Amino acid sequence: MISPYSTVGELGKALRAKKVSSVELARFYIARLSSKGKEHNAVAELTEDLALKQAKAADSRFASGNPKGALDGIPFGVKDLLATNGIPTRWGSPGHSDQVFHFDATPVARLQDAGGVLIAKLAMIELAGGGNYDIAGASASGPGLCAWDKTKWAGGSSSGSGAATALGCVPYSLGSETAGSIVCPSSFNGLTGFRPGYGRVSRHGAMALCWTLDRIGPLARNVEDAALALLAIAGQDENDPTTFKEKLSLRQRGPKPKIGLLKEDFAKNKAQACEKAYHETIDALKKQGYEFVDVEYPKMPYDVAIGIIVDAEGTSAHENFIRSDRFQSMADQHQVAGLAAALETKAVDYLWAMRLKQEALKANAIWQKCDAVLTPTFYHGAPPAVGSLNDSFALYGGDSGPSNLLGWPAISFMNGLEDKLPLGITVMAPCFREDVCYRIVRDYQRATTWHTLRPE
Amino acid sequence: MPQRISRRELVRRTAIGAVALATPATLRAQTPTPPPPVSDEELLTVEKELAKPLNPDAKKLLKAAVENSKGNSIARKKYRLEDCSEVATVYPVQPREKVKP
Repeated sequence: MISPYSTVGELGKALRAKKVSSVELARFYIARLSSKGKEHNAVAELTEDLALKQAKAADSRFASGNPKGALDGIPFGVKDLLATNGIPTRWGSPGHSDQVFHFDATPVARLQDAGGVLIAKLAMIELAGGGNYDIAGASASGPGLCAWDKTKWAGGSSSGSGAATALGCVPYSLGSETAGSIVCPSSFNGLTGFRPGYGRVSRHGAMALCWTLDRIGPLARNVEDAALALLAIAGQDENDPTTFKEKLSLRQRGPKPKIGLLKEDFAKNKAQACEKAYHETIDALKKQGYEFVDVEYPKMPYDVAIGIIVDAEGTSAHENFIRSDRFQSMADQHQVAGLAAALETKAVDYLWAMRLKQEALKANAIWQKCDAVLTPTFYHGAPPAVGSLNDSFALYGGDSGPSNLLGWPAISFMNGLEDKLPLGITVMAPCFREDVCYRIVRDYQRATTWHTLRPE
Repeated sequence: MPQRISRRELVRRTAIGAVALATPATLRAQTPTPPPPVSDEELLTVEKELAKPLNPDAKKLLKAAVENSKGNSIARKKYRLEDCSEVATVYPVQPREKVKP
């Protein structure tokens, strides 16, 4: 009997023990995507033929005693922002409905090389939301619906990756983030989302929103699964010159990391449930021997810089589309207006933003006091799927610091509930120290059970 | 009554979606500045960049979008960077053998 919520580790064991075949797994999850996944608008494209071919090949390897590794034979889905050979890649955009690439994005290719079975392209906010969307329905797939409550939003822009993984429609998935698009759907769907440091994972074949900010990372049911996927996709790629030579290692290094805490404003944001979860998380980590210290970022307009970079790079990356007849087919007219306005971004503003990145390196001074920073991903659970997101997010807070501008790695993980909806908390670490994030979340998840709660 | 935020701020907080709540606490504590003025000519200039005129819904939203963009431009000027002749944005040259035709 397959549980849709099995972890990658459990599925791997079942495959090795021949209790289930990869073909059975692929069929099982595709059926679930076809029902629950589609009910939540999480599916952009099923890849059944490819999946069954890859699953049969995996079963042959298991039969001959030569499986490839921990991900062999295990189904996965990817955000529809990643190119897949011969399969539509629509970037969530009605204006790109006929787009097909004839190569696999590097992260997709690497998961397939590891024996992974690609079963679906997952829904996303059109063009990853580069035009400032204001409605959940800013997607060719319709509004992404939260796995825990279909009246709520799944988060964005990796909406389908979040909902499908939490619904047990895929064991794990890939998403992407420019400034929040992995941690947001992870938080709203009760998942563990691993945003790697900038340069860890190749963006070759991934739709560009911001060349200088975009990152690809996994969303999974626990940090062990997310780590397995990240280890498989990380590494240098000659097609993406921003990727590091240094090999990613999540092995524990050095003494227990000291965790920095930012000033939070729970009262102003009416976030009692989040405050309780936050303190319980700190208590759980203290029991594990972690120490905490108050920290503060240097005050800089990190957000203004990100806004300008998104405007400039996003419109440059998609300029031909924005100037084409198909532009106004976008689902959210806020995106149309936002991208049109962003065409006027001044070069001097963009260069200020890029130079602020250098200035923002001063924020690395906090690493003199701590090894990681812990902060609620949002102050509340998933907002309604209808109406203006702008209005809904009034009291949501979020990380106001330099983590996206500077490319710090982070993991968002579930740490509580608010009105039966998941709450998430994010741990961030300096560049090159994904291992610190991993270690803290691993220790937390070994001592607690929030990550084992399911929508059903 | 929830506090209203601009679309730009929403994006900072979520979506593309920025988790970033944007402005530092000291700046947030200040009275919000009114949006910068946007003339009809400016909106027309934007629209002329496109293949066809905006539909009525997008046209209504364009003013706010331009205000946001101009607002960012104004906001960034409040955080001055020193004039600088040091290396800022970097173009790393590649040896010929590494460059694909």
